[in-house]
Amino acid sequence: MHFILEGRIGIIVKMDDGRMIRVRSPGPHTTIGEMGLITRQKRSATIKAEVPSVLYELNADACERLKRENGALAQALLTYIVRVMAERLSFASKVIGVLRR
Amino acid sequence: MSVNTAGGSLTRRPGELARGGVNDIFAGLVASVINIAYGLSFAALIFAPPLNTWLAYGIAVTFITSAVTAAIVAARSSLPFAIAGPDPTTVAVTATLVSALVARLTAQGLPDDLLAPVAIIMGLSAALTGILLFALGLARAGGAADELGARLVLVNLSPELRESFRNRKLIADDVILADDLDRALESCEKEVIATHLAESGTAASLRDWLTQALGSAEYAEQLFQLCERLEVGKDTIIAEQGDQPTPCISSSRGVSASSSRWTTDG
Repeated sequence: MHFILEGRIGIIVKMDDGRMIRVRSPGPHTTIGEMGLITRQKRSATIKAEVPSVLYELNADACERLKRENGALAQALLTYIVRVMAERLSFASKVIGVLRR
Repeated sequence: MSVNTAGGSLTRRPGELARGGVNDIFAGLVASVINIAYGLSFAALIFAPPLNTWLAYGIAVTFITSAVTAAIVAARSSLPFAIAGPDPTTVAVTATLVSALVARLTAQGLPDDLLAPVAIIMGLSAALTGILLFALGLARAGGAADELGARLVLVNLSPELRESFRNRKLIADDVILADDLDRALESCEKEVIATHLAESGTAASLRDWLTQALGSAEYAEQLFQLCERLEVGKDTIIAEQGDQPTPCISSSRGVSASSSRWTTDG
């Protein structure tokens, strides 16, 4: 999981037909990679810096250590991640609704 | 030209096609009325006195270019539901250029035919804007320009034009209007200093962010200690689709990422 402090990161998805689609480009004060941290599944998109950027990374090992040694903080972090993902799901639902009208 | 969305359809069930068609027609009509209203307003702004003699020509030029560009964008845009219309910021710049040209010609004694130089200025302005936007689109640099803090600065506007720009909301709030070039440079200098002061506290910024996110400064500090700072260059790939969610940093152009820990290709 990465916390973007400066710059802009491109989220690029490779489609089945080989096309690369840039789905969004989050800027400062957004997080990326939290889904993979929880599900431990393979990454669903390529993450690429579009401009020189500064990020802080919480890697999988650190996250495991956090869960073992500091349950309260892990719970707070999980709550934050769920909140972020709920906001994104809500936004995506609205976009789909607009496109289907 | 700015791109807007209006109606449109992606994948539809057969029963929804009729309703979607009505929606598309209605959206097209609304967009047309808005484009006509904008076209009239912008033509009146650019062809303000002493150019009002050629206002009819200006309206015709605005309508024709709007229609042609809207048709091209509707047919060729990668967004199937996108349309195009006159862009207020570009019109503001064009009106500024025309105003400056007329002021200079007035100082030298107005020629009989002002239409030709004005048409040339409008054509050049439109062509340069088109080329610039096309290049920005190719490089996907619009967001990067914003990220770098690029701002539009307009100088040497007449008081009437300034008032018109602000009252009609033709320009965004972050566009800087300056009396002259010196004041514009001073304003830019202040912005640069303020930006650098803000950037000096990146770590503090993360702590503040985490404190707000987690609801506790203590949690924020503990999580901060577990995170590693990464400084990555342009085009650095931070993670590849299909990879396991493990730390991985590589660069598609061989540009190294400055970090206390990073590996290449996995």
